[in-house]
Amino acid sequence: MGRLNTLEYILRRSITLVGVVLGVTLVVFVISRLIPADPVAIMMGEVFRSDPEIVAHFRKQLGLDQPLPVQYVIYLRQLLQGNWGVSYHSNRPVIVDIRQYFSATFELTFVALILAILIGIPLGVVSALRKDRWVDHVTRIGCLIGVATPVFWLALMMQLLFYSRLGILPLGSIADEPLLFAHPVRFITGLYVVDTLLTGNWPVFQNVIVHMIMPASVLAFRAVAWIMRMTRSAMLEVLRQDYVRTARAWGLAERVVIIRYALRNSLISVFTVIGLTYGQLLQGSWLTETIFNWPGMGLYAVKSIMYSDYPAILAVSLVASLVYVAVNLAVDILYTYVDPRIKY
Amino acid sequence: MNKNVIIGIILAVAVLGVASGAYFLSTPSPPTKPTVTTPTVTKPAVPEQTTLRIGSYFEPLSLDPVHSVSGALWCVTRNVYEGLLKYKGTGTEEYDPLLATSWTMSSDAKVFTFNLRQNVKFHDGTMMNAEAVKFSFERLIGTKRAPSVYFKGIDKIDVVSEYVIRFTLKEPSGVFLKDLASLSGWVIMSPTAVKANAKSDDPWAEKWLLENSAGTGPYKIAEWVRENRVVLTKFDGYWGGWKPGQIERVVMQLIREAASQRMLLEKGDIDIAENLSMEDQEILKKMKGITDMTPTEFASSFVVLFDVTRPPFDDVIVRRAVSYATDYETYVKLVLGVGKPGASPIPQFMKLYWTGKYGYKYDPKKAAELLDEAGWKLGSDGFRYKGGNKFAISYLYSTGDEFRRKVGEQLKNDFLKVGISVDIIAEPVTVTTGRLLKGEKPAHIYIQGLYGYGDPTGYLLPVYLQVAFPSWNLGNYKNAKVEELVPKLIATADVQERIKICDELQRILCWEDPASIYLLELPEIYSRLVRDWVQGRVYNPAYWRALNIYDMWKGYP
Repeated sequence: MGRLNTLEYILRRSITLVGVVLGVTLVVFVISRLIPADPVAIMMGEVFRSDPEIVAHFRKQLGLDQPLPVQYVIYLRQLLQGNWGVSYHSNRPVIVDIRQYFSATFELTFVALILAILIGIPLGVVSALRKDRWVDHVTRIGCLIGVATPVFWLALMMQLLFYSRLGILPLGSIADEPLLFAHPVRFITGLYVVDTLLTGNWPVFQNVIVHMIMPASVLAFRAVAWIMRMTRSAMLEVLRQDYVRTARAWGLAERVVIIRYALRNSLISVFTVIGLTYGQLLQGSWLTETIFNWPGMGLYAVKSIMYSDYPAILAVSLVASLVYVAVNLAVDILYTYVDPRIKY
Repeated sequence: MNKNVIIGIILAVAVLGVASGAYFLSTPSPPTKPTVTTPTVTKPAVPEQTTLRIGSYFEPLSLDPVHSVSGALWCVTRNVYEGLLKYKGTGTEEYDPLLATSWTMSSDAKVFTFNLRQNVKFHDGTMMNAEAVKFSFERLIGTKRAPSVYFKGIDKIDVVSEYVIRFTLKEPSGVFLKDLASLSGWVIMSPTAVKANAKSDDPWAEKWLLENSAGTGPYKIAEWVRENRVVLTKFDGYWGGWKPGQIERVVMQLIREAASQRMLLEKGDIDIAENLSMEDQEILKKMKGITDMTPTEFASSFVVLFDVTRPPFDDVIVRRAVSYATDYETYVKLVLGVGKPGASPIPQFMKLYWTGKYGYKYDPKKAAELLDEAGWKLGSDGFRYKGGNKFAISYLYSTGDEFRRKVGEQLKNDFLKVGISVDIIAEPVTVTTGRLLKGEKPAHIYIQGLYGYGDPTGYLLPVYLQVAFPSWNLGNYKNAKVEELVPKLIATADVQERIKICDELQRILCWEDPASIYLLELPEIYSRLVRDWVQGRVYNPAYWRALNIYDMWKGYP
């Protein structure tokens, strides 16, 4: 019975999702066209003599000579047909670009998120249980440092220490080029970790994991801070409740009390933060990607803006909004499993 | 725990963090590769002997040689494709045979006949002949992109016999051979490959050639991972043949972060670093195991263009004043001494055509005199005024370019001394072009860089003619005599005649109707440091950043 309502809820939310995404495309479209940039200039690559005939020819090809509303309608129509346009910069269909870059970002942020959850939640629990003792203080200071440290500084310092001085971790990139040349990867999902595992490409698999350590840690550093703090405050809130006191009075093992009663009930707030954190990771990943040469969405987004690559900019905004809305929807669904009181 | 203790710990950690960062960044880290001992000298073993690993900064938009004239593409074109001729050695006035073994020019400089090299294979196995050359040039002209602009003067191309081809031009040209020797003319590719990959909406197979190669060069394109790397591998059928020890693979890794390139170079994980900050360069040059591959011929020219269409630079005297007010030596210091002050729109490496007699020397007193003469008087606040208007101008450069920003700061200083106020603006190139096209005037002075062409016309035509507005002629400069003389320079093959025309052009562009401040000449825009095991590079100013990888090797002499 509850499940049917949930399905209805998902359907209702999906309709709103379409509305949100459409709104995003409209806003981004208008803004990107308002900027007085000229993609033809960059597309033609340093034209020595800007032959007006050639310039007009390209404007027409790109549809830039049409009035704005017409351009928008054409764009929407192409979107629905699955044609997301051709990037001015890479001269490839934008979808191909996005697939390549999104997979890379997804892999990295996913691993970073898992790391952050695995470290952040236990730390938060321990902190809450040992409130105001030295464990709590150390963890909270660590979190403050985590949130305050600039991402690029941390990334560069890690590179200096682990690559330059100690030589135990690679500088960046997804994998070592000579290894990729010797053991080419056969792609199925587009994700390095998954595909190398599935195709039994052991050397590249190990290599990718090693390459991921630093960038994922840098990303996770901040995320751990947020998750840990939310876990801690939610736990403290819950531990004060009567039912926890009752559970303890009943003689239940402490571990059961903490995990099944206290933690489970704090998870709602924690999940909200995890959802928001994932959004933050996606946003913040561009700095990390630049420094570690991780060819992901963040890098692609910045490059598209620099080159006024309209199709790319629109596609990136679309994907970003889709992901964000999807993650929030997933979090809302998860609530129903965590808290049986919530029904839609 | 005491609150003060906590604060103390946080502060200590913060200070420690900043201090360690500063320490690490200011000292180079030692390479840790195993060492090879020779009788007198201990040198590290050469990693990946036959693979050249380059840390690049720009990614080309396309690997099709007809698509652009960017330095990033040239790095690939020079090794994957070939032209009829190449420049001889390090100069730009003589030629060596390449795909053409000999050639003749008619006395009216309109008809050029070439004898082609035989037994040359394309990457797809087909043979190169006159038909293929004709097809390649038709493709170049038909795709209507930037490089085609040099060959618009071709009237017809005749296949005289299987290995003899004739070009007839519409007008006489003194630069046609130079155009063919430049990388814009290195477009010879297999017609079979093009036709096999052409589609109805893509008759010249541009989509395929974006990422694949069909040339005659020693290397072919193995892969291009966007925003990551371009990989070239050796073409076994190359007509020049192969010896053991030559470079067999080239990896051009795109690394946008200068700090990363520095670390990789120090460790020996890349052989050549193309993107290093000035500070890093200073430190690395002193390090053992690093050679400076920066050449001594300066092919990049930096000029500061005037917007001559509106006050205050519509007045010739003001332009001259400002040229005197510039302290040229300080700009050379900005590039750590590896550069020369400019004195002419034509760079000094073109010894035949360059003259410095119309150039300006730093003379702030003269500048002040001229400004007074032009009616710009010093006000009480230290700035100049004329008719109630303050002498306040804006300087524009393209966002993200640290060097050009520094130049702007220096100009601001120089001009302040004579009472001119400068505002520095940064904008992406595309935005500026868009605004100029709309008729807006974003700034009063613009910094522009020019590079890599073997003839004076390459430094004149793209900037000082009306036809070049708004791509490089940002200041919308227009001078009737220049409009007439530059095409004449192109059309004349007689060297003495050309020298005279160049003299006149330099006189006009420097003195009679100044178009810019001729600021600085540099070897390359981005300096290049390499590990000392990289050998064999021969620099030619017309080929700029592109390396002659076929002649290079890794090891110790």
